[in-house]
Amino acid sequence: MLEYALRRLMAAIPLLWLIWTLTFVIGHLAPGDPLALYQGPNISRESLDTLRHVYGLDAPLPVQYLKQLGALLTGHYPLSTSQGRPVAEIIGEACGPTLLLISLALAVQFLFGTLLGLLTAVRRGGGLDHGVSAISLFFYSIPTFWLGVELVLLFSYRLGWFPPSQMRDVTLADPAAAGWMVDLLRHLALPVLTLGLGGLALTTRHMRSSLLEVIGLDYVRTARAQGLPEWRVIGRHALRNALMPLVTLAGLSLPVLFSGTVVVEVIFSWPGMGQVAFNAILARDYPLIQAVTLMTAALVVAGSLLADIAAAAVDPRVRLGHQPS
Amino acid sequence: MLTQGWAHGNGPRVARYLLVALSLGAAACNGTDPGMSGAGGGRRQEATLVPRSGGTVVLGLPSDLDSFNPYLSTQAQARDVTFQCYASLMEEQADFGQGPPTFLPALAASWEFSADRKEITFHLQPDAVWEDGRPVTANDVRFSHQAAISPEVGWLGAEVKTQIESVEVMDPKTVRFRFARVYPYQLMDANDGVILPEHVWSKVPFREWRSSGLDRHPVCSGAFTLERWTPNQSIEMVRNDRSFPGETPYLDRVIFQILPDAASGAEQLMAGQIDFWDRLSPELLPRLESQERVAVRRYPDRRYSFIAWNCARPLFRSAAVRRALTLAINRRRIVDDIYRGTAQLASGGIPPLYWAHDTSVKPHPFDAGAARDLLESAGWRDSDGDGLLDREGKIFRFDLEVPASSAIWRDIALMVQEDLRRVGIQASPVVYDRNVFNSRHSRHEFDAFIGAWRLPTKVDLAVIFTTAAIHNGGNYGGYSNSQLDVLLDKVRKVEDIRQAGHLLDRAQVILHREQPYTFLAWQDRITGFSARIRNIQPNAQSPLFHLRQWWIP
Repeated sequence: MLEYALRRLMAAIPLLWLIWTLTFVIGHLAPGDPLALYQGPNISRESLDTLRHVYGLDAPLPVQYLKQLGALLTGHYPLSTSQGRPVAEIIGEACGPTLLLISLALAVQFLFGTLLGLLTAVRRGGGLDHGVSAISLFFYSIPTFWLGVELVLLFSYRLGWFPPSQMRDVTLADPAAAGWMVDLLRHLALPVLTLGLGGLALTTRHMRSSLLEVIGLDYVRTARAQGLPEWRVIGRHALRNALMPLVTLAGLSLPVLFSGTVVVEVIFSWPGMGQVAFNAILARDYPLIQAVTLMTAALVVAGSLLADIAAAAVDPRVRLGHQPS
Repeated sequence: MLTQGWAHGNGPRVARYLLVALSLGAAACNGTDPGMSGAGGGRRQEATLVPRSGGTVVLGLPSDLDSFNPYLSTQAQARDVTFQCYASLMEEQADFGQGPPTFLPALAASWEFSADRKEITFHLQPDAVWEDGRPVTANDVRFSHQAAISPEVGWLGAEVKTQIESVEVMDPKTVRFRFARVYPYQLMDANDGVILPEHVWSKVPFREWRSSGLDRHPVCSGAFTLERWTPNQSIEMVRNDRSFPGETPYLDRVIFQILPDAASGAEQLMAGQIDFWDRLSPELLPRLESQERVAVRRYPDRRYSFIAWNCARPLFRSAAVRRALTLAINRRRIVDDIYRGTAQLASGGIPPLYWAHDTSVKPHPFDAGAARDLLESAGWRDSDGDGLLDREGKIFRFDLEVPASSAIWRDIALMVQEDLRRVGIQASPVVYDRNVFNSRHSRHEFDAFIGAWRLPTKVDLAVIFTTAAIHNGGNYGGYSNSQLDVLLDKVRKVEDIRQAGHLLDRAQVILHREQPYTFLAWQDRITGFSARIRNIQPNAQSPLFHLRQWWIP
């Protein structure tokens, strides 16, 4: 398994380089200028030229590309042109909040999705099945930005249950003091729901159909014929096989979740990579755009690898790295 | 020696206490202030209460700072935040309506000009110290100047220092600025920027400042010190008990909460989750004014909106045509319907809150008939009866650019389109992303755009309207008038800017006649804050003006 993981990681290097290069090319093809937002009557051309030189934007594009590639390989990360500090520092600060958000959204999506899928499959055709299906379809259909805004209006401004934005209560004198976990969870509630509800609906429907498929198989019928209780038939025999497609779904969900964080983090002022990416794009901050894209791509690759490993753990028939004979 | 400022000793302290008393007096007299509304308007009698120390306020901030070092920052808003911690030599006052702005002592206790006015000597506060206990010295002042002009630092405001030949340390508490020539803004230019601690920042070469991370842990000498900066979340400051006399604030803590969404900022203010939110939209005023816990203050800003015509393009080359365009646009409707009365109809590029504003120049009226006559005299007629003016086979049509980020400007563009269509001109609004919008203007690649300037307190029309500013400045429309160039050049050369009043009047008359811009509105700024806070004095200088004097009963 270790050999397989290493081989997958090595194979990811050219992919990441390609993504990084494409981001560089596409970024510079788009109209705009990283320093355009600073111009004004009281900013002289000389001052702008000086700043352009400080950021290395006055060099020809191939030189900029090679310099940035060299910096990436040697760990001397370039400066963000919108924040004036190393991009690695910015990504380092933003990575944690985004991973926290995505992990919890994944947890909501798969824990509750599996549970609801299980219940609706077992109670197929009943009121619960129809109700959950209708609600799932609703959450799957509505756009994330609309859901986020509506949740804020209802739970923050109308009911006052959860804070509308940010990651913590800034009036807490010491962020590490007792109660910080409760504060963090309160701040996480709405962004996690916004990010996770769409996926939850999808997981529920996948789980339901997967389980229904498995329930009809011979070995389940055999288990029932042996007189095993229904909970054991489903929980012990059917569920394990029905989970296989969900592991694949988890791997496929990662890029969707990363894209979703851009909208969610902007709506909830969540200090993560989505917000960094959004602001970097508006500011034409090429080094930061490339860094965020690269980091996101790396995390997606790592997530897919984990999903494959998890699939092998769930299903012994999956042999990592071996082609079927 | 010509002396300005205060003598050594108790001068600054007395001056600041007087200022507090005056501010409180002003607050007490605010009963006639039409811009004050909400619950805060009903606390005039409480203004006589004695201010007390303590408390925390949470202020909304639309975006995180890029740097806490003002020389590294490229953001206009950063100044309002970082200047609460870093002190300057002097504190510029918000009295530029009466004359050029005056200054009160800050790190400098006093200052004087030399007889030939080419030198200014500053005497630093004898007991001013950095928050780490080290004294503030003349070396810090010289070092800060070196940083300001260093190309390796790349300060965007470095232009203001170009006339300063040298900064000389006379003794640990005395520093002398020598200028290449005498001009009106020497004091302002010497003061621009902040004083940084040399013992902290000299540890790192200028070229490594941006990557050093030092600006995340600043050592300050102002009213507050930075306690914690959580990126994209909050900036937390606490009272600096070592600040120099008169600078010590009443509040214990000030927290800036980053709220990138403007609508969310207003909602959180009304919900009591933050205490202060600036730049509120006019349409929110009725809701805000009905809130018991929110006070609103509306005051003239240093900002005006305009339509810039690209005078280098044949369509807009004629002053008569540009004047006709202004006459054809119902700008009163824009002020009433878009700005909802929170702006004045503009007549020129110096708003009335400036001392140099010429009151004799009145806004052009809305007169579609006069506009048609002017256009006809310029050769524009509807020769084929299609409802559009044409000349030599070409229809009068152009693109009117607006940034995607401004809903107000998009609405204005639609109104302008409608007004111009009535006189036979086809204006097509085109929306661009803000970055592209700005890039196109500096390259002069546009027909017309709707924009706004927020002016400095320094009156300087030259950076927007002279020929030199076409390639180095804000004259994106390429307007050129030799008579105006000469006038504004003379303005820059007078010793005392007050002597240039008549020159600026003539310049305003020329701009009014020639209309390189259609001046739309001089805008008000709307600031909302929690009614529990006392002595808030937002003004055109800064919404956080004298934050150190805010207090909570």
